[in-house]
Amino acid sequence: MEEANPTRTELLAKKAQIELAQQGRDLLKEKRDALIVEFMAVMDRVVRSSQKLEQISNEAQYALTVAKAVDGSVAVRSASFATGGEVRVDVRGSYIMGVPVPEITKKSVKRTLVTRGYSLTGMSSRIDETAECFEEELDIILDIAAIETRLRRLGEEIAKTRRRVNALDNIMLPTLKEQVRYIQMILEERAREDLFRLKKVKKAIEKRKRAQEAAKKSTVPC
Amino acid sequence: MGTDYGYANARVRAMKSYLFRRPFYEKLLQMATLQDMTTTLAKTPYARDIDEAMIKYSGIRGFDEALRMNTMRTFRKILKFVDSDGRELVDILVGRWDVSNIKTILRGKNIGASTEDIVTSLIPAGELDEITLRELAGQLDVRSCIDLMATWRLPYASALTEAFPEYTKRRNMTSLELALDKTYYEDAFSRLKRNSMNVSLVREILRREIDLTNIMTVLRVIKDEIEPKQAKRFLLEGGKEFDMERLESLLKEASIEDVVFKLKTSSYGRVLESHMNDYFESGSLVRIERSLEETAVRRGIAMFRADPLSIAMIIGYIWAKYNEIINLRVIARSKMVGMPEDKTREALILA
Repeated sequence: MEEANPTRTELLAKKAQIELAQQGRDLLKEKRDALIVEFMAVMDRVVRSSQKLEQISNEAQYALTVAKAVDGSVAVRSASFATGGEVRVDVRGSYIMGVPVPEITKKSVKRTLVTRGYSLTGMSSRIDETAECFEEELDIILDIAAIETRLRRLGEEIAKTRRRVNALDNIMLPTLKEQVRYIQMILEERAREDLFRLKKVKKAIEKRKRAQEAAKKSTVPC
Repeated sequence: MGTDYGYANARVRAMKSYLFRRPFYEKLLQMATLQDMTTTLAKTPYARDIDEAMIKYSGIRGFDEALRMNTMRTFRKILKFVDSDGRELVDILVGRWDVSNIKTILRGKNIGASTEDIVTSLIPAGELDEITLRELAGQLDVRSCIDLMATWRLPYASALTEAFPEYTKRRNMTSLELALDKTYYEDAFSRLKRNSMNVSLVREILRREIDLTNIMTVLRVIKDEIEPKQAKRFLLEGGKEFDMERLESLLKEASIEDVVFKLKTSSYGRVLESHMNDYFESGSLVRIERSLEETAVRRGIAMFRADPLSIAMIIGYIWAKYNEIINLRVIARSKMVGMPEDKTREALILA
């Protein structure tokens, strides 16, 4: 236990610290609860998006297999040469309960038949569907990347807040309370000592007084 | 000079006897792995291609490479034993490989793919041989490829030069590819002006092919809700059943069902109608397209039964071989990913 100066001023300071720590703990608990609510909402989105990603990924793989089987991997590779593109994302920051989280905004990477880069006349609908599925998959991956980062940040913040609450609850507040008890005990001890000393002094004074009175009586002539 | 189809057809008939039949496909379908399939095919006319391909690659990549080499070898072999008029007609038929190879080269140059990547994506089964295509693929960029084609006086060069400014605006390949497809058919029809049975047969095949491409273009455009004005440029002229006016009116239809209803009386009506339920269930045009392809394949293979002293036998063989390659690819892929047998059978055309 941290040594405390057993004075009344220190006692008052420690009591003020306890009050402040309790207020801080309550605030952190509120923050943690709010973060958990937000975390669960984001978690729900992540789970739904992951399921969707799994489904679209299977569809995309199936479409690719069919396209490679019927049109040939050469045709698919050739189509992929024609459809090179770019993904533009805008990453900005925002705050949830003071936690910085990234906001990723993007344009959908889905393209139409005419913007995909190849001519309709030389390609089959199998290749269209493969491209469509993979574009959708890429869209979902980008969405998940944004919400997963948000989820990770929130998770880290919840863990940090929980650690702080636990530190206040289990270490800081008990220590402060112990220190207050210790100071109070010392102060009470001192008070008792003072009282005892005063009583002793009083007794000594009274004894001296009594002795003086007795001496006075014995010297008075009869 | 007229072509003696007797010799060519005797060779093709011999090659036809090596084409796989239904029992062989059934045997392949029952095999557990791609390895088993490759081993079985190594005892067929694919042996040489499989041996050569498996030295370079393994697994499905090796298998694909073997099929690519076999396609190349087979079609070049046909070109060798047909001469004069017949050669020109076969050149026209296999010219689609040239178009597809030039597209691959231009696409590769567009994204800066390496020459080696581009070359391994080519199937030199047309008029342009591997050395010519390799030279083209080795050019610096799209512009130099077009310039080289102009130097070689290839029929596609002028159309590509015309479409080039549009390409440079957005570096979108659509205009160049469209120019290639349109030129292929224009050039083919300009070479098919004579009046002979063989010329008519080839003309008929190409016109049917254009019909099929146009029907699929209309369906894809309507599914993707593209403006008719924007979509019009993707239609090819010269079809047998559908002229431009009819196709443009189809583009204005509101839905796939309306298009299918309008095509009810055409020779594709029955096929389209029979797959509408698939479309409603899946929202996919893949089954419809495969069925239309099946119609074309069966029509092509039926040429085997036409005049044995005409080009019909060669046309029939080209379709049958093309279909065989696709069937083998479908079965191989299904083994690789463990596709259910019913799904595999859906993609097969067992003529």
